Amino acid sequence: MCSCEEPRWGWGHCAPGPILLLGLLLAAPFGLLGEETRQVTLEVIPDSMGLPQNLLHIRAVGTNSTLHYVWSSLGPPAVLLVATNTPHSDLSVNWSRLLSPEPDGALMVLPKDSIQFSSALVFTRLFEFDSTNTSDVAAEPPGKPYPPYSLAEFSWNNITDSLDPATLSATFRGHPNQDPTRAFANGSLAFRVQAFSRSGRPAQPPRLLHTMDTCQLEVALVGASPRGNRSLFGLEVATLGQGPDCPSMQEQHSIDDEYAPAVFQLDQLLWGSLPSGFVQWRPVAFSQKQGGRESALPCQASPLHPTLAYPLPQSPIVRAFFGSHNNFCAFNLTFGASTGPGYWDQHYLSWSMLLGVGTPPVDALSPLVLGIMAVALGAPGFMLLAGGLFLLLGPKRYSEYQPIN
Amino acid sequence: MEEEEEEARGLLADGPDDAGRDAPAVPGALPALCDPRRLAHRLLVLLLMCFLGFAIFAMIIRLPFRLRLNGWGTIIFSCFVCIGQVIFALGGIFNAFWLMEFGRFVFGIGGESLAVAQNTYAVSWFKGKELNLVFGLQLSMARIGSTVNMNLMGWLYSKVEASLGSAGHTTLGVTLMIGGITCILSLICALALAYLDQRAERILHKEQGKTGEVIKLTDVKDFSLPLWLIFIICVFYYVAVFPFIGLGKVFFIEKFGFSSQAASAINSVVYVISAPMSPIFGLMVDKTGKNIIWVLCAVVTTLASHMLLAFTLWNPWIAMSLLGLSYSLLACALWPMVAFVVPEHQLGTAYGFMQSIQNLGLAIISILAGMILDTRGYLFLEVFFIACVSLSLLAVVLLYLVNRARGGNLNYSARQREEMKLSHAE
Repeated sequence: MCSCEEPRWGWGHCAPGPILLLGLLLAAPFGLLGEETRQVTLEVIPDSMGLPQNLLHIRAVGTNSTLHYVWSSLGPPAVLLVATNTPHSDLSVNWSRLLSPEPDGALMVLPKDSIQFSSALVFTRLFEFDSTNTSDVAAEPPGKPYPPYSLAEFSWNNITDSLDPATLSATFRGHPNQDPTRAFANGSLAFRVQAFSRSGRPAQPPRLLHTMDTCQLEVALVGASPRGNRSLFGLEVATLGQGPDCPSMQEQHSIDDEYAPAVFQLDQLLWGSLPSGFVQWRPVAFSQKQGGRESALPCQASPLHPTLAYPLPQSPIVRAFFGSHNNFCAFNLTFGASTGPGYWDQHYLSWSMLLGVGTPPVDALSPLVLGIMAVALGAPGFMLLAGGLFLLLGPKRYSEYQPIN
Repeated sequence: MEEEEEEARGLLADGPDDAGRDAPAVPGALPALCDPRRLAHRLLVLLLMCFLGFAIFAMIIRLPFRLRLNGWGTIIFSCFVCIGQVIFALGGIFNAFWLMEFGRFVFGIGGESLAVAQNTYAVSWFKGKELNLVFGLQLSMARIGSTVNMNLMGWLYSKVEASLGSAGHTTLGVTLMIGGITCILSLICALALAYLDQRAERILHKEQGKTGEVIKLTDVKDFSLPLWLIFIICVFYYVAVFPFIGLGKVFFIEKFGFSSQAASAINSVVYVISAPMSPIFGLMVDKTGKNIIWVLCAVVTTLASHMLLAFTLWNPWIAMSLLGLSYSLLACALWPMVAFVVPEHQLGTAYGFMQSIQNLGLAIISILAGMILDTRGYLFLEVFFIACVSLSLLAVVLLYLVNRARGGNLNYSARQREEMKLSHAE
């Protein structure tokens, strides 16, 4: 990670050059940004027999581009992100091939030559660490690891029931197939996906600013029994590199924590030079449903490292779209520290991220802050000016001379 | 020397030996340390006053309360402080939280009133002389007391725990009892000060009764506009310093990535800087005068410091050092101004009122600051503090203009004050 030293009005960051960011903001209208809203449709694609198979296709159509998010829990939960430069592209699914042992080519976005960017994220494993004897917050690993849960061996609910067209969201809820310790007897791991047709900021912490080019994922572990008294959980995320190298991970330090109190950092995963895909999240998780400063857990992200395909749980979706030759890169997220709030408080953990294409959204100072600053700095100056003028030009009431008597 | 002879002459005006105004009437040759007119004696008294403050601030909480002030009053307040601390420690030994709260309450009654007494003593002994330096030194000793408390009590607790063999309420109580020895020191100082004050009154026939005799609430209506502006400056300034320091540790950990110890260190740098710098600034303001300009500098520097902390990622040591310097400067320049605008018989009321509303402001704003932090985060909190400092700045500007327009004496340079004093004496 580079050091963040350069102070700028508003924020300092480790991005590769503030000039580049400025240039991109100016160039934005020429990319996939520049449109005001998108038409978003959510579709659960049934298989050839008409049975729902937990393949969710979110299609966000703009004036001259389309974003496809293909979320699935076939195998480990995964998302395919495809951006095209036409409003008429669509997903085609070959179910028989998809459900076969060799799913290469089962998923396609047509027309193929309209694809500007494509990549995937796979959530492969859920880790659990025993942090009882660990005092160092940033230790790797943060405690003695328990055997991880492989998310490829989870069974999931039928997402058709959880589809909500009003909020453009759907929830995948799963628990392990084999659960000898009955840890997930009353609990589940939920992936809540939400798409957006325009920019906005949700009221729920961490209040990530989303645009119409992004969708939000909230990972929530609810009710599962931890295997220790002070268990910390972690998530392994795998992604495809755009070339031989892994995508870059950045920490953006900012001065603004208005929307996430005491969190001054934004983490990003960028797949290539902009405009391309990105993942954005705040390095914080919450141990209560309503979120807030008292339930905020620190979230550590390990650096991205290239990994061979075979140790990871395989995702048929990724193989179906990209083929089988791929270079995966993986990183781990760990939630919480051995002291302070944790999963043990209410058996609840939630973490959110944004997935999108184009320029990652940037927080700006709210108008209230700017207004207060303007008044706070302007009023004394104005008073001094006005008073000074009055004293200079106004009636003289006091004379320098002392009275004789 | 010249001016001291002048003052002695003025004070001996109604002595029996009225043989001509030119002959200085020196009532016997007292050694410099024992002669109330001499600088050396005043320094001894200053030393005692400072230790009075040291002991208080080593154990202090802030409660607004004002009582009658004279030599006996100060001794009574000191007793309250000692008794309060003993009750507090007993609450720890007997594991009764309500008793601890009661002890703190009693302590607060005495402690806060002693702070007012300290200010009034300072003016009584040092007005027209080294008043700014005195305020600086008093503040310095108070901050040293706070720092000593922060560092020593933890160490003392672990030592007591080691010797008693257990951690718990008994250990806490014993630690507090040992710490209460400084309150005994405060009582001794109060006794010594009362004795010296009475002795000075006897020797110099100083009209002791005039200075802070009885605090009358009705005096409040007589306060002039400049005094109210001074109150406003005081309140809005301190609410942007103390609550910030209280909430600052997590700010430095989260925003600047400091470790816990580094964050504590940087949080305390305001006190660490103000301890040595307050006397220096006091001396400087004594020598140059122009109190309002110094207050203006201090407030602007604090505003700059908060803006650096809020809107940049620069190393916070810069901003916190600036805060420490401006905090010291303000204390040395602001508090003596009260003595310039208030007649001596209302001085106790004025200082008491100033302490009261300062504490009230701190109490309210501390709660408000916590609420703002939980809902809106540190940036908004900093903006809120900037708004408070800005109000203080507005009051300073207004004070300067009002003072200028009315031909007041708040912003006189040291030389102008000398001339005023000489012309009054003739």
